[in-house]
Amino acid sequence: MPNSVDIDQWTTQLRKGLGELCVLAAVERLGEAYGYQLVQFLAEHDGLQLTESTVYPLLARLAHEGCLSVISKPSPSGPPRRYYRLTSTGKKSLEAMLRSWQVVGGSIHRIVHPNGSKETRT
Amino acid sequence: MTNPSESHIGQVVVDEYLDLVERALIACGAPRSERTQVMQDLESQIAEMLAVEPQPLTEESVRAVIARLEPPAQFAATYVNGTNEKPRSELPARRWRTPSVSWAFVAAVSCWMIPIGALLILMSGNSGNDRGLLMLLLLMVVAGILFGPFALVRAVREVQSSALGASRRDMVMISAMIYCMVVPVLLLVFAISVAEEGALVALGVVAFIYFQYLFVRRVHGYITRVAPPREPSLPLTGGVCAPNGT
Repeated sequence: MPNSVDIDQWTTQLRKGLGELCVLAAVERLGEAYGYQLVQFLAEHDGLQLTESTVYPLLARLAHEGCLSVISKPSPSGPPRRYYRLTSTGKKSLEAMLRSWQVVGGSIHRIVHPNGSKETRT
Repeated sequence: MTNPSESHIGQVVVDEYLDLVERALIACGAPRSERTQVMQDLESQIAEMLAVEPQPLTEESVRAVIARLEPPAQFAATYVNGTNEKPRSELPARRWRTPSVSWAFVAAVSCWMIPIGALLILMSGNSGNDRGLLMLLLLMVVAGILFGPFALVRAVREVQSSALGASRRDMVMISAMIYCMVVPVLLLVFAISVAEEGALVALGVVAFIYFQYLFVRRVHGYITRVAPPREPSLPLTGGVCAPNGT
């Protein structure tokens, strides 16, 4: 009997490339957000599994690459919060990622549903 | 916290966790600037999580909050494979950024070749050995003189950019000092022997020693500035990972 596809592994690989897209999209949606706020926001969305160990390094790297700007503001709970905001570079990157995502998604949809049917294959 | 002692213990618990995360990030080659940002975001999150806990905080409540956070190694996983889903045990074996060629060793060999070669030439000349050996030793010294600076520059950059230990840095420093002290002496001896005029030799030697002192100080200061002494590295808990940069 042939081995079935390791869905967990496949899902991991799929999420791997989507982290940046999700983080940039979340920052855009919230306008300006601090790290923990983004973690909580992303945790509300099923299937993404983007937790602090993924989000914070991604935020740091995206900020380093100029996609996000960072401003520190005082917090009532302790150390200052670092608020992230999308830069023009970040907006362009997000748009490019979304275009690619739509192209890939559309192509997969056309393969699975060649006649334009919206039914899910069983 | 119930009292200052309790408060201190709670802070220790938080600091321990943050230290472990930072060590995991260091071990994975996460850039310093990004590491600092991650640590600040994480510290801010912990403060927020503690703020919503029933007050006063106790050590147990702080530990419970820390337990809700991910294991420190998970932060490193992002730098390894771009996701946080692989457990630490499945991460690749430790692979530091240590370059395959250690320029510190190359520089040490290059620099030590010069005085050793010169000494052997002296001994060989006195004992009247064959010309072939003499030429070989001369080649060794010349190679050391020419290649030494290049190897030293690479070694300094290596020490500067990577997490090498203090022993490597000391090796580079000693090599540089040997080069700075021996090569001018050899060049002076060579110049005197070629000129065959010893009238100003005494004055020249004094001036030479002074300039050599300045030269050594300058090189020592430069290496100390670009590669300051490092603190001994902390032991890591468990296997670590390779840098990737997602």
